[in-house]
Amino acid sequence: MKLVVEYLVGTDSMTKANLMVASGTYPDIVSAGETAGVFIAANAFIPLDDLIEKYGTNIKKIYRPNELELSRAQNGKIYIISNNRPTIDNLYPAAGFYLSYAVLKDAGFPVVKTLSQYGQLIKEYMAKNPKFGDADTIGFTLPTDGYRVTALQYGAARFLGGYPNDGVTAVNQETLEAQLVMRMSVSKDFVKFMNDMWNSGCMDKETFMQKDDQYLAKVASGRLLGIYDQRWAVVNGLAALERNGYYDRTLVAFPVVVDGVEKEYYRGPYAFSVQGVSITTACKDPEGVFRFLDRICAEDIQKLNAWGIEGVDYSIVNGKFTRTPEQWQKSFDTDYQMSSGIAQFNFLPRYEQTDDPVYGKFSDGNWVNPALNQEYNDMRYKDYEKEILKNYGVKTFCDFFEPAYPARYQPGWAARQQLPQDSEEFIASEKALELALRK
Amino acid sequence: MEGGQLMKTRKLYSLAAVAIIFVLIITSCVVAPVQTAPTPTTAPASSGTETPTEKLPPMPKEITMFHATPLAATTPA
Repeated sequence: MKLVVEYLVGTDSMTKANLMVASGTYPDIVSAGETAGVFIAANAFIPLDDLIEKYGTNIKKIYRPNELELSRAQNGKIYIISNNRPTIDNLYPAAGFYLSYAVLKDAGFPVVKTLSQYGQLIKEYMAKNPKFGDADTIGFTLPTDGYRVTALQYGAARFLGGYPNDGVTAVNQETLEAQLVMRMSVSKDFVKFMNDMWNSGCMDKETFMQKDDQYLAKVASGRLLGIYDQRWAVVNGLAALERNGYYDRTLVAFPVVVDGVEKEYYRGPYAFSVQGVSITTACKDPEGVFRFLDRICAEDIQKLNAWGIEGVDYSIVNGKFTRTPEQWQKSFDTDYQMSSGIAQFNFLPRYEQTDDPVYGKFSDGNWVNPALNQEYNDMRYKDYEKEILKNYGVKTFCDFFEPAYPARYQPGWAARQQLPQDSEEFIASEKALELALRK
Repeated sequence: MEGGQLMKTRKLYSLAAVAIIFVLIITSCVVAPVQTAPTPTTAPASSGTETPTEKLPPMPKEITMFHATPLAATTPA
């Protein structure tokens, strides 16, 4: 069987979606991402409910019942099988309040839990170490260039208040009540913290006018003691810091909350989003195509996608999947991934890649996600990182954080992406973001 | 053997043959009795009297797809 995939050229998926709908010409299947609403409104997708019931043996096995329920459109039909499955590894947390290892070492390796403790550690270290080499030490800064200003608008505050990442909203994990982060008192607490850091001479005076490359250059310089950020956004700065050999200045993330908040939700629920694959009305053989989508979800295919070929890319020792150091290194190589097909079919329906003991494992008990093997961490961590972990007596940098858990709803950022841009809800959230910056 | 007796014997053989064939036909048509023994742990061989599994539709030789999102999307803020 041959799968012929046309990828989006450029970045404007909305224009492309509207063009396809206007022409009425579709391929058999579409992975529409955030443009799914355009296709559904044009009746370009067929309901999948009957096909799931009749031929979806594997799909019903690997998707949680509530995920299939959440996949229903407003008319109650399922048009999308999600390919945006929850994925986690335990190497590094996705976000946190970062502190320089030098600060932690100086303070005797404290586990940092509250914002006041975090600020105090920066102040004390800065008082003793105002310079790093010839440069002034910077106590705390934030990314504020373009859309990165979201860290200031709501990104840091929602975590400080004990909420997971739901975009501009904070969702109470007990009641599922949602509110705008910018209207919550914790936003004010965060501003007060920054004001205190500013008055103490610890806040970076360029915070509110720096470009992102300047921000990352500060991370790479080793003179920076603290930031709030998501790891993916700062990973290039951290890599440069490592290349510069400033191992003692690397940044370690902690799940910091304001005083009075008892539980942190930095890792939050496994992020499930209804973005995925749909069968179009132009498909001449929907049953056959659906059978392909279900076959792709079978365990033997998923092992190939996640782990590769047994005996070539991994071995089974005492029932456990394992890789030699050489096999691990090859699995990290994007060229090898492309040529071998490892992880190349994640745009189709697939297993979740979480540490859930049921949905995150194959029937033989092995993790779907190779990154959940401790071997993976041992290969990935550098010696200086292993030293940090040893000093703290933990195995991974996620051990400071509460574990993730199954989702009961789509994350707020995914729901917001699906809102029509002329809807009242979308306009209200945009207005609130604008007002948060004006204040 | 006398002629009349021979005819009688042949008739008897014919009747017996017919009876055997009839018994064989009946036997082959009898539905297997309901099994009361514990459910076997391995899949039973087809008895020929079970409803055959519904044939799944074949997968097409070629499927066309449009992918509207980047393969490696960054984590939303």
